[in-house]
Amino acid sequence: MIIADGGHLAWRINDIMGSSREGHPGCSTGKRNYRANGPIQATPAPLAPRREGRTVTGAGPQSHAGTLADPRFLAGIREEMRRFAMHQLRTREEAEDAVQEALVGALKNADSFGGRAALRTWIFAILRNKLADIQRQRQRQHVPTAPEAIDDTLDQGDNPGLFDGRGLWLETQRPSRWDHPEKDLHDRQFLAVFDHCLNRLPPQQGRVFMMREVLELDTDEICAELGLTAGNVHVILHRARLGLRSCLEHNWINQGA
Amino acid sequence: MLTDCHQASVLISQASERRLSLTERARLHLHLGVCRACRNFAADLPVLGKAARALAAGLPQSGAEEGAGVEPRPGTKG
Repeated sequence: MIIADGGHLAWRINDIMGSSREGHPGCSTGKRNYRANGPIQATPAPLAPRREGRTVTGAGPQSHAGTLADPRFLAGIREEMRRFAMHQLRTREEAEDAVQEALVGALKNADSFGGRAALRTWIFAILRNKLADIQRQRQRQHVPTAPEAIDDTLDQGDNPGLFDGRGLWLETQRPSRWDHPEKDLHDRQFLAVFDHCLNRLPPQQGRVFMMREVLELDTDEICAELGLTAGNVHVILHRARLGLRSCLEHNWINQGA
Repeated sequence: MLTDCHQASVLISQASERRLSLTERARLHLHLGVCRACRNFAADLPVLGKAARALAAGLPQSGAEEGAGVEPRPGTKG
């Protein structure tokens, strides 16, 4: 499923909102939200009325579902979601699908959120669940990642390029102690640098790292999904961490030094 | 066998994935006792995971978005 950008998408979301499309397992809350139109109904609203134009039946004018229909907000968050999803899925189509489904899922409870920041966090939580679902589903179906994605040079003994012949840190790579890392996590520029560093990693390293740290899959789950051994996964994670740490140190921590 | 920085960094990374053996922990501990760079590496690593989750949550953009509204605000609270 390919979807259009910006305003066109907002239109589309409105359209979908009116339907009784079921939530996917990753974001199901087990309850439906009918309160926008008055008293709680025992049965789902009939489908037929949504054919009448694009009246958004599920959202009042002040709701955050309405915020989601704001093309600028939606285009921005959708782009972020897509970048995030692309780190973990193989194709653009898959990422688009996951983003679209997460947005649709988010709309169901969007008006319980007090502001855009909270709404954004909520939307990304749903996207993460959606991505974890996709990974687990693949695992069940034993669909391995494309074989060319597997790095056959994975040997723990190999020097990843940050150490000298005796296994000591190279002068330029020696880790320093980072000050105030917690504060940086709320810094927009820091996260932009981090995003840049993530994109500079070999794709497989970035994907495995995100599967581990964001989806919080364990080694076995990652192995099953990607057709790797536990040893491979550990080497990939080690390389990813070395690469990210080094990149952050050079582009953020020591930027002014 | 002495543990070098490369090996220590492997153990530090793997400690997030599995329980290290007693021998591995002993080797790592001995190395960290004498190597500030590896202690720094161990201290820096958790920041990477947190940054990934913060990026995923999209926290940093919210402030800018909030102030960028172009539409008239429907019914200001008061």
